[in-house]
Amino acid sequence: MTLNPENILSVLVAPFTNPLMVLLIVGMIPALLRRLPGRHAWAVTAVFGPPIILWGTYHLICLNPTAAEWLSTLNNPIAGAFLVIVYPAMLIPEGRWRQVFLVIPVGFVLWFFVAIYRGYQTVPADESGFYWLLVSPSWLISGVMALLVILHEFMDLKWFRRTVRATCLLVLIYGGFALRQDFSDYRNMLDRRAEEKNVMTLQETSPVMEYPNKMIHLPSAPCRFSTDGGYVQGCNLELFQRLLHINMFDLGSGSLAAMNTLSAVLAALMIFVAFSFISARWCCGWLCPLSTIGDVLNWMRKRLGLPAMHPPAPVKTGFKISGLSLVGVTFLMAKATPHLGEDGRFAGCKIPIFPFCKVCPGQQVCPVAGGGLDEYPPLPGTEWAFGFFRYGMLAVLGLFVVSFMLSKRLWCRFCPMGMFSGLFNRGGMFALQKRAQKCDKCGVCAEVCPMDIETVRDEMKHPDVSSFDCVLCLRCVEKCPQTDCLRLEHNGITVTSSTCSPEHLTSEK
Amino acid sequence: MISVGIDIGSTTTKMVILDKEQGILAQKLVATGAVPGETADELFRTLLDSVSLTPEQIAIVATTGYGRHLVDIGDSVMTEIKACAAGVQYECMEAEPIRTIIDVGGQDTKVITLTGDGQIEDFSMNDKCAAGTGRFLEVLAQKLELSYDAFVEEALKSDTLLHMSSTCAVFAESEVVGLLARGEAKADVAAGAHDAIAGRIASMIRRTGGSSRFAFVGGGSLNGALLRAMEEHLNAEVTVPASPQLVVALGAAVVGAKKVEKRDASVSEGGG
Amino acid sequence: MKNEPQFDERYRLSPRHVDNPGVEKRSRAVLHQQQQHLDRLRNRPRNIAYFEHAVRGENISDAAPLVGYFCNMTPPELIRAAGGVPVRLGCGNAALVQTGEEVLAGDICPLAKASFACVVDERSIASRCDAFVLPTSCDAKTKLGEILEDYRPTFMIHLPPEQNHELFLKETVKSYQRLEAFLGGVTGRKVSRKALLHAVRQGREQAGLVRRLQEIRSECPGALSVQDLFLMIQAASSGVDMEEWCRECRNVITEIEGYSPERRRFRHRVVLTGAPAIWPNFKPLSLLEECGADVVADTLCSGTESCYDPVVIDETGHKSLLRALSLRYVFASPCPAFISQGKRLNRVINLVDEFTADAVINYSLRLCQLFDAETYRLSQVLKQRQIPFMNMRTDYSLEDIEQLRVRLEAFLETLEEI
Repeated sequence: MTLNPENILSVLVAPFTNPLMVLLIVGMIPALLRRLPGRHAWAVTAVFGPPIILWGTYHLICLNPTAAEWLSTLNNPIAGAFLVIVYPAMLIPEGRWRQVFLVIPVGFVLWFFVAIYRGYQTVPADESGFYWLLVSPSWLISGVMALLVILHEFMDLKWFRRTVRATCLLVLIYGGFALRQDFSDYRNMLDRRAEEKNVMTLQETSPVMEYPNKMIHLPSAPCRFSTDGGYVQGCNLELFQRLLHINMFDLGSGSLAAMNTLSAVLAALMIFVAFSFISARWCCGWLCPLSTIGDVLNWMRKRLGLPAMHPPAPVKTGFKISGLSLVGVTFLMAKATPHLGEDGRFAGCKIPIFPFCKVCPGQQVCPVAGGGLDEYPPLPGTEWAFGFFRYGMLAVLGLFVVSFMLSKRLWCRFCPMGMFSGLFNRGGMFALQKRAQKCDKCGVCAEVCPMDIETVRDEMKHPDVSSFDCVLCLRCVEKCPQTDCLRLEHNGITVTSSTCSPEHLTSEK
Repeated sequence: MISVGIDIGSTTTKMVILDKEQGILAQKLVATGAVPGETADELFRTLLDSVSLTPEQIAIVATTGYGRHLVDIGDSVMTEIKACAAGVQYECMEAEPIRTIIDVGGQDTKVITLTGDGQIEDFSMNDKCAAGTGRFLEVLAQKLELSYDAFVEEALKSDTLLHMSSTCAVFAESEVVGLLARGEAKADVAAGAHDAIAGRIASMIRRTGGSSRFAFVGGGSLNGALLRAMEEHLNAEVTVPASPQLVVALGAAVVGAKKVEKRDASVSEGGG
Repeated sequence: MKNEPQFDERYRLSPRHVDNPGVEKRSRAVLHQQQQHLDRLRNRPRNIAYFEHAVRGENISDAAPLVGYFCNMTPPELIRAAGGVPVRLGCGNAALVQTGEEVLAGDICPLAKASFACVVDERSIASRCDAFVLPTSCDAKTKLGEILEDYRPTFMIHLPPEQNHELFLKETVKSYQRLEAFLGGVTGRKVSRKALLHAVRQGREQAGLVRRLQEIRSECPGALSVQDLFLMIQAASSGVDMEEWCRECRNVITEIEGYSPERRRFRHRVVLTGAPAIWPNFKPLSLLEECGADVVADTLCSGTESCYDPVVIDETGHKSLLRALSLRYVFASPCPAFISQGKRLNRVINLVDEFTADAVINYSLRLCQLFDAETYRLSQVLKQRQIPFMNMRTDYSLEDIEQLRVRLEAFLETLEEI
């Protein structure tokens, strides 16, 4: 059996046929150019600029013959809304232009409510009872993002972060169950759930079935195993596992199914890489429902007045290594999936389909958070992993609870997915900057840091204080007692900076 | 245009009348006395009379020195540091620019460093005690039962290096008693005292960042032995202006004249 | 934590009675002179009398036990939380130095000597204190603590030599816990989490008010003299009720917010750094103002430094609050008691930038070796950055005031030429 080079080429090119991907890459160019000295930047633009424009135009005209179709592919709820609403809101500075821009999010919010109203119009007159939101995911995502952008104008950093996190928790854990295009979609879902609870098939899990080619994956842990798969189609580690599931022999023989899967997974991964470049570990700090749940537990610790544990540096490194080893072992197991026997065994061992998910607290927490203990996954492989009884993995759940109550964001120090995004903390578009001249080294930044990072406090020479572990939660920026000492930059533009104004201090009580 | 500079020091009051074209018209030094204001008033009147000028003909009266705030005849007040720098530059105009000015007065010692274009770069003064000032030498002269001039002459005669550690007027007395008891010559003790003071001033110059060329003004510069010791310590030639005690008053007159010119220029600009 | 004795009780001396009418007379004269200086100031806030009385210790309530303390490294919040009234002990009276010399050696800083004299002077606030708290910030304080132990129960806060290391943070928190135990013994009340949180919030409010004052003064330095500012700040640690102080301070703010100078005269803006200027020793402040410079910012521990930065509340557990106090009062401290001078240099350079100052003046108190020793680096670093700098080395006495005036005026003249 030989691999067909043509097939491989087409698989590799496939991700780039996604116009969204093209847009993201084009969007990354200025950030990349900024890192080069002036003369080189022009040279790079001259060399790569025209081909990229030609490439984009080629896609526009040849691959997607009509503009309408091209735009519909752009209709990816998260990335689209991000580009149109969030990105400009982040980069346009205070002033008249910002006010002009705010018309756009206000329009989206209005249309969001119109869409809800129209969704409920589809409920037949004879059907009564309570239904969740009946609104297309695109409108929900853009509506929520627009709402947050508007709210941001009236909130300080602390409350804005809380709002975003609560919203993301709701949408990512419960969204999948709640949101349906219209009444008939909702009915179908209810019927399906009545028949079987198997969420393992890709198409069944998500409300975004209407966009079969655009799998949405966030660099955070909205688990696909939660009720109806949550709002997104799982995390990136799941994607990696899917990549490993592909039987290379099928691929070599030109199996269409294998090719399609590979192409789709690669496309999703590419988007993930682009997303990580743009947002680094921001998703960890603000989106990830797992960390939000963890922070609720952490809040309980605070209320009890228990001090947080600050693991020393070697322990932190140990956490990282164990997180990565978990990935290594479980991914090797995933590689065996295509070769499983009839009884689901490989070399005498029973192998779960998604081995990493068996040790990931996301799978333990998200379904329970979404639908109570009933939802606790009776999933393939469960009985193997910690395999004594159905609730065997409650041990993992317990560990999760305890760990979050002992120390802030303990899991985030293991999380391999976060580590992957963390690669872009330096060199990505976000950069945490410090003006050493303003810094008293009081150590508040290190004290409030949920990841126990000391770089922000100790770095006095280099203005860029981003570090691999940073989840961009911006607590240091929020708490810093020196105005303009710490600031977050995106592509060189200041998004937010630390303030300690007299008004803020005197109006606390 | 005629400007007047008055330097009301702690022991003497000096006054210089400066004409822009003709240079110094008159200069005088008197003891300050108990009421600096009156002394300055009288000096002002008598000196003007001596060159038959009336107060109306004077464009500006600039005062400086410790009593600068105590007199009311002045139009412009400045510190002696600024005046001193201006005066020295006026006196030593021809040669290459002065970079460091040493001013040894009765109660204080100042070191002023200048930039290449004559701006004050930095300066330092002795702390509140009289160590390292002219007063120290006067006290030692008394102790050696010599007049001040004889004391200086003795010092110039000596060629033996005698190390004196104290520059404090009070403690030096006992040190001198010790030295004399050991049988040291008066001349050597006098030279040692000058050396100690010069060493102290030289270290002050180094701390202030002084560099060649040096000018030496104030009452201390009339002391030949001190001048010699200073030159030894600095390993450079030290220039002493023609009338080193009046240089501050002269500087005040120079700065005053500049101020008048500047004011006139801005008035004519504003008018035109 | 147990309240263990820190000193060897066997060698305790009996309190020394000091009766020196000459010194007393002169100390009253010093106070009177300083008061005259203040009275000569123009546009003072209407309610400044409140702060003047407070600084002289006339607004103290007798209800709560008074706890005298030294230095910024002692958090007044802890004393308040324990139910005590914090009174800052530093004294700047030139005449009292003589009394101090009877017990402390001649070459010890005048602040320690004058402060000791206050303790034995029956009319001062210090003598009414029920206990003393001192950090081991410098040699003078360390030994002064041992002497004060003869008079009242005294607690020494052990300070780490180095900042910014978890090890030292833990040490400081332990010291604060011991302080809590000590204060509990004095006031008979345990420091509760709630009381501590309340005190910290109050401190933050005070920081906010001081920040606002500085904001206004930065825009228009003539609105409030730096002497009045110091008076207000030092009044806050003279045993007054914090809420009352905040109220009066707010009144001042509303009053000076509307201030507009009749005619704008050019005055230099300077940053003052160095040793503390404590009432009634406002000599460096008044001298600067008289010579035509406005002190727009300072790093003096008796000035804005003591309450400009807030304690940052992150977690509200008892230990977390103690950690927060340690970060604010020990880790961020620019005091030369710690090994690195970087914080003060950084702070000074930043203040020059932030308050657009023309120059930096270093007040180096004679016999305070720590500040003296730091002067060289400070002057060199500022020279590198081309920030004009002058060192004002003096002590409490007024004899060198004319010399200093010449120096200051000449320094300000050189600024004009640039």
